[in-house]
Amino acid sequence: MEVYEMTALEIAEKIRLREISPMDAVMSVAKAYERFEGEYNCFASFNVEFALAQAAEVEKKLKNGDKLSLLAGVPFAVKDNICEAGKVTSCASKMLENFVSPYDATVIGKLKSAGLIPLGKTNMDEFAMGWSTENSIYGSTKNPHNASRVAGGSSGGSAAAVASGEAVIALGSDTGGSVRQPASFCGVTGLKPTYGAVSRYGLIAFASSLDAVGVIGRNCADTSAFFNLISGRDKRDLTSYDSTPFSLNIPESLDGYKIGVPKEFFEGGVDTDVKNRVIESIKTFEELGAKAEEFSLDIIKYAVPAYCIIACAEASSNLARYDGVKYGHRADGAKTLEELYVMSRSEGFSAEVKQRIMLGNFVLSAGYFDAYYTKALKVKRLICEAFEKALSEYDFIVTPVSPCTAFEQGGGGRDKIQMYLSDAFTSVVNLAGLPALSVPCGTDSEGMPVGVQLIGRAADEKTLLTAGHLFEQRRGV
Amino acid sequence: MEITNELITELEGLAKIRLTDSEKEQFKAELGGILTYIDILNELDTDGVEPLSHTVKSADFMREDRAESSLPRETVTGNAPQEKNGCFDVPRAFE
Repeated sequence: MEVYEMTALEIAEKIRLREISPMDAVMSVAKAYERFEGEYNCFASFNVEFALAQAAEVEKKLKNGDKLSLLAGVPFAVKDNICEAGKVTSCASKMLENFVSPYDATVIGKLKSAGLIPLGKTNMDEFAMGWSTENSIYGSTKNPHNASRVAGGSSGGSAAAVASGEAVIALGSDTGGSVRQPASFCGVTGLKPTYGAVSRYGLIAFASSLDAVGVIGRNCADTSAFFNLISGRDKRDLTSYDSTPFSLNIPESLDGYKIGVPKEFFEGGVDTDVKNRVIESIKTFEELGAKAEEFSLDIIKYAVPAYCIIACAEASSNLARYDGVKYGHRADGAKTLEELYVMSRSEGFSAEVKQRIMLGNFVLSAGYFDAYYTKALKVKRLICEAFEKALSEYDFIVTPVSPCTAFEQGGGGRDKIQMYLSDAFTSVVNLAGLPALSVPCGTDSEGMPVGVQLIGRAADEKTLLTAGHLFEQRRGV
Repeated sequence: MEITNELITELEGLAKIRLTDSEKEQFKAELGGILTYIDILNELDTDGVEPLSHTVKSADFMREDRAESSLPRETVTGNAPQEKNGCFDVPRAFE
């Protein structure tokens, strides 16, 4: 077995036992990149020399007897909207094509201190706005299970890299499903933590009340170990909170656990194969000892329109900083400051990004603010209350991640509204600020992966990862 | 709701963006559909419901009012398309 095919914990163990070095791990991942990148296009940039230098530093520390972390020496990929000092962080946009970040995001700093090695910035939909990792200056990322299909988005590069072997584990970001949906499409594990569990300092903002830095890994044990290294309060992100690292003290079963299954998720619009894989997953949880119960969560119907309004409103505000002045693309030939703004922004952003900014401006504009934005925030409160009530009865809630599996490159014939609607199961979780985990649970009739989503109580990633881990073991993964 | 050219022009002004003609057509078609769709929120009675802007657990920690160093000036201006004397160089702001 190649090192790049192993799990993060396995690689870390081999490094601890001195069977391989951190440099060996980097070189193995680089080998996978040589083998597969031409076909899948997972990366925006990939700098082996940088990583080898960092690996050598980690090796020195380990030889010195420094206690680093459970995953010391493991290379990890970084979605290209998370800042790494000295590297381009482009958000897959012409606007930031040459932006070299002057600082590390908090999550990067934490992982480096723990002895992990950043290797590669992964492809994404521009400014995290998209469902397929096709809207990128680096071209589209292909699904390793079938290269004519999309990898999902917007963290498609991270998900495809973990699936192909070009990354052992990866950081992504999730605003409306952008970690969970590509994880589901690519047959890997994806965790969107509780809002505030992981610092957003250094994550290039899309929608500040919804964004979360997430983890894409090969299994729940890796994902859990990685999450524990990145979570915690950061003075630079006032929405972050203290958390206690946990180990997966795996119980033998899910006896005593109660699972809620919203009946709305199975009413129309979900592909048959996806529905069946999720129903089978619920049976697996029941075989593990949990009690599953159907209940009504009819507020779900209003999640996508509320998400659409809030995300675009916040994006219009967050992307106002891209003005050609301090960094980013500056147009030539502007005669006035106003022209500089308009020309730079018009040239720097793709049509999808422009559309979302303008929709955001619309819902925030005089005369429409209350009807749209304030209304959406009221619906957000109702959504939070509905989930709080449900999660007072259930330990976690099970749904599909996406109504479909990975569609064909080029949209698969879906229009814009259909694409937004595909966020129905995921965006509701961002609105509620809760954690959610996508776990591979089988394939459709064409061999394309299906993910099942577990939604948990605030700050209770442990329950989700425990249940996910037991699920994997039961399925023999 | 009808998406008029006037509305597009107004939004372009707010966003400081100028759309190409084909982008305008695409935008008109898609925005109309999206706005019709999001009107579904009017089905929900939200009278008396307070808007919720974010789900933070608490934001009650303040730091000491003490000057701390930040990024050096050269680092901050390092990505500037045009820089002069440590400042960002731009075209005239006023006529």
